[in-house]
This record gives sequence, structure tokens and C-alpha cells, in this order.
Amino acid sequence: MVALKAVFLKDLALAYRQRAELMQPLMFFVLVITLFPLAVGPNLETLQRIGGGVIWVAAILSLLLGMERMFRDDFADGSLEQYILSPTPLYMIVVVKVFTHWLMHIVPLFLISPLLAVFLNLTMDMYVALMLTLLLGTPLISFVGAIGVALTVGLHRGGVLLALLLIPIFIPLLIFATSAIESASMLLPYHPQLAIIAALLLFSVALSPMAIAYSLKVSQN
Amino acid sequence: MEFQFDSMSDFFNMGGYAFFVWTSFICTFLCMAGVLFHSVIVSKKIKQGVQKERARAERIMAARAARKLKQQAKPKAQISNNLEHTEVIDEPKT
Amino acid sequence: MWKWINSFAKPEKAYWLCDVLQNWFAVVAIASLSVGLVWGLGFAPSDYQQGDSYRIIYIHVPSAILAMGAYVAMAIAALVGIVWQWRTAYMFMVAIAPVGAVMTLISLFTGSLWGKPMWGTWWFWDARLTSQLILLFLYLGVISLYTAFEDKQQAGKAAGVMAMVGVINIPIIHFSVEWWNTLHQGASITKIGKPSIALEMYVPLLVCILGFAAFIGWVTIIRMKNEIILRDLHRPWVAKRFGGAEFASVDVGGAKLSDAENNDKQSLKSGGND
Repeated sequence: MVALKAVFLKDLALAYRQRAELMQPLMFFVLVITLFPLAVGPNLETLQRIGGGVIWVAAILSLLLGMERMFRDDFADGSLEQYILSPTPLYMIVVVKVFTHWLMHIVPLFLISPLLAVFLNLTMDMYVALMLTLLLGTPLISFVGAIGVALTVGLHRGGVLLALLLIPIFIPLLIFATSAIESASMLLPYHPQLAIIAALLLFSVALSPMAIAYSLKVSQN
Repeated sequence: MEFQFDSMSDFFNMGGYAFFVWTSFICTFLCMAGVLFHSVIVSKKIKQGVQKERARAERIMAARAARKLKQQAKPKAQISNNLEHTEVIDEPKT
Repeated sequence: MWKWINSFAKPEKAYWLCDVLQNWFAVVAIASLSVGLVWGLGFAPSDYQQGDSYRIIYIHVPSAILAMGAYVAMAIAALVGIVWQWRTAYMFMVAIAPVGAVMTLISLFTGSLWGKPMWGTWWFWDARLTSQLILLFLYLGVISLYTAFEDKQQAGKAAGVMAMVGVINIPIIHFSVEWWNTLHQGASITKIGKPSIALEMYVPLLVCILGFAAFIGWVTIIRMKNEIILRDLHRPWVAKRFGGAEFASVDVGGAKLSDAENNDKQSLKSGGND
């Protein structure tokens, strides 16, 4: 437990020191969302129709961009090898690392999202649905994405390959999340969609740490 | 079970859907033949590569063996030369 | 029995098995495909609704089903490789991936060509076509991950993990896309869903499915043999078997040679570089 707390605090400290790097995916998120009104025109109704989908696609892409740094620095300076060799099970260390990473990336996203909801003319109900789906869905992205990150951490140009690998896997999440926002826009209940996203989240949190640990060992060779 | 079309030209026409049906079948056939022939061609190339590699290995070994023989022959010639010199030197001066 | 099964973890034994099976798969493939396709094209009754364009079903359905099946086979091979550390399992996975991807392409292409006369558009976000498209991306992901690594052992394990993650996702993706499609289709759905198909149309379809499966097996066996030779390039059994007729009798294992020649053979075995 002490080791896990140490990993948590170390990652928080390192992330705080690299604040600028954390800002980049956030800025990407905002910029992509800004592109859509410019591309499809300022018609508020159109923007509301596509708003939920646009924000979700932008969230997936920006999280994919920022995911690389999860294990990259540890792989480069050798601490990953120490994690693998340590008495604390690697899958627990991995859970802490992924959770910390998620926290660091989702908090700014949450803070900026009211602004983006205004950009895309989302109603209050849609906004609440968006926040709930982001809350439940982004940890899923982090945990399943971490498998891909762990597999490609040793590759030189793994960035786009990572996106290629992971995007097909995020498609169900995208479908259910945007459907929830759409139901909210029509003032219909969206509990079923949230329940399915939560189920996918629990499933991935249960199984992915082992996969991530195995992938890290494969990459570390 | 009988042939469903009245004539061969009817068969090729496929009830008006000739383009769609025949394009599908031909493209499928090309894709499948393509992947099959690609695999066979790669197989031939690999086997040729193994043969060449083996032949090269044999040639290298033969060259090494020949060089070793040459080296073993040289020192014998040098030793006999030295003996001649010593004989000349050891001859007492009269 | 387990010892016999585990003997196939050795590439040489696996190669022998491939040799034995190759011709059977080839014969079954060619026979079934020719019988099934000719039957389907010429002798199956014409459809009441769709006319003769429905005959594309005899390529579209087998390739779609088997694309999914090939992915599952790939994932099972990945599982065997990761759990039991079988190199030959990874070789099988690498061999079947491109074949499965080609099958997916065929199903997408023929689906599009079938959809044009039926629905009026070249592409439509039908649940099954969309699932096939995502399946294609999963295949391409596994293939590109494998080629991205230089060390092929590592590559096999990484691609294996990806294949297994993908296979777990296939039912989730299928379910979600089907649900999404019904959600957005609204009321007007042309029911090509699962019609009760007439027996005279069904039997040639089964024959075609068998033919496509045997074809996939045939090509995969050829590709697996290639992969085995490539990975075992410098092993004695490869040199002995493929080194050419004049070297067939050479005992590469190291017979009575002088020390110098033995040293030469050792250094050649390890790298072949001079």
C-alpha cells in the first residue's frame, strides 16, 4: 500500500511539473470542437444536433493524444523495469498509474466543458447527460487505452498506431454515450445507456490491469 | 434441379443485374486468386533464398578449407630454407 | 496425448502437419467452390423479391461469416501462444490475419454491390456492414502492430494481446452497432434481416461456406509454411530440407570434421556472415 501511495504521489507530482504538456491535449480538445461550427455553419439547431457527438469524438481523440505519456517516461528512464521487478504486484501499480493519469486529464476537461456546451448550444439536460457519460466513459477509455499504450510504449513512432488500434474498440462507448445525449435532448430517460457504459467500465477495470501488466512486460522484454 | 436461365445470354444478363453480380464475382475471384498466388510466390522466393544461403555457406567453408591448406604448406617451405642457410653458416672455414 | 499435441509447438512438426493438410484443403476448396458457385449462379431458383441480384449472397454471406470466424481463430491462436508459449501459434496468427482481412474486404465490397440495386446507395450504415468495417479495422490493427516490432517474438505477443482484446470487443461492437442502427433507421427497415431462406437456395450457400472455409485454410497453410521457414531460416532442418538436392545428403548436424571445420560450421550456423 505504501508503494501504491508513493506511485500515486509521484505521478501527481510529475504531472504537475509537466503542466504545459497536460495543457496540450486540452487545447487540442477545444480547438477541434471549435472547428466544427466553423465547418458546418453557425446554425444553432444543427450544432445542437451534432453537439454531443462532436464533443465525444473530440474527447476520444484528445485522450488518445495524451495517453502516450502514461508509460513513456517510465519506460525511458528505467522505472518501468523497477515496477515490474518490485514486490508490489504490477497490476496494482498499473491501476494506480492509469487512475492518476485519468484524473490528470479529466479534471481540466470537466472544467472546460461548460464553455464547450455553450459553443455547441447544448441544453441543460444534454449537458448533464454529457457530463455523466464523460464521467463514466473516460475511465473506460483510459483503462482500455492503457493496454494499447503498454503494447506500443517501446515503439519509436507508436502515436498514430495507437489511435489505429484503439479507435475501433471505443466505438461502442461512442455509440452509447451519444445516444444518451440524444435521448436527453428529447427529454427521454437515458438510464439504460448509462448502465451499459457503467457495465463496460466495470468489465474493463476488472480485466484490463492484467492485460496492461502483461503488455508492459512484453514491451520491456 | 434445372438451369434457371433460358439461354446463356440471359445468364450473363442476370435479370438486369449483370454489372453488380459479375463485378462481385470477378472481384472476389481476383482477390482470392491474388492472395493465393502471393502466398505461393513468397513461398518460392523463400525456398530459393534458403538454397542460395546454403550454397553460399558451402562456398565459404570450401574457401576457408582451401586457405588453411595453403597456410599449412607455407611454413614447411620456410623451414627448409632456414636449414639451407644454417648449413652454409656452419660449414667450417678452411 | 498431451505430449503429442505439444509436439506441434515445434516448427518442424507444425510444418509436417501443414504439408499433410495442404493438399486436402486445396482439393476441398476447389471442389466446393466450383460446385457451390456454379450451383448458386445457375441452378438455384431466382428470388421473388430481388430477382437475380440476390446471387451475390453466395459470396457475401460466406465471406462475412468466415471473416468473423478467421478473427476468432486468430484470437484462439493468440491465446494458445500467450498461455502455452507456442511459437507456432503466433505463426498461425500471423498467417491467417491477411487472409481474414481479404475476406472482410470481399464481404464489404460485395455487400456494397448488393446494396446498390437493393437500397439505391453504394454504402449504407447497415448494422452488419458497419460491423464488418470495424472488423476490418481490427484486422489492420493487429497486422500493423505485428509489423511495427522488429523482434518477432515480441511482435507475436503484442499482436496476440491485441487480437484477444479485439475478439472480446467483437460481440460488444456487434450488439452496439445493431442497436444503433435500429435506433437510427426508424420505422422503414427493409427486412433483409434473417429471412427464412428456401432450401434450394440454402444448400448451395452451405457448400459455398465450406468452399470458402477450405480456401481460407489452404491459403493460411501456405502462409504458415512461409512463416515457419522464415522464422527458422538458420536452423539445420530448414537447410537440410530446402538447401537444394546436392546438399540433401550433407549432414549439417556436424559429423566427423576437423576442429577447424567444426568451428567454421558453428560460425556459419550462428550468422552466416563472414
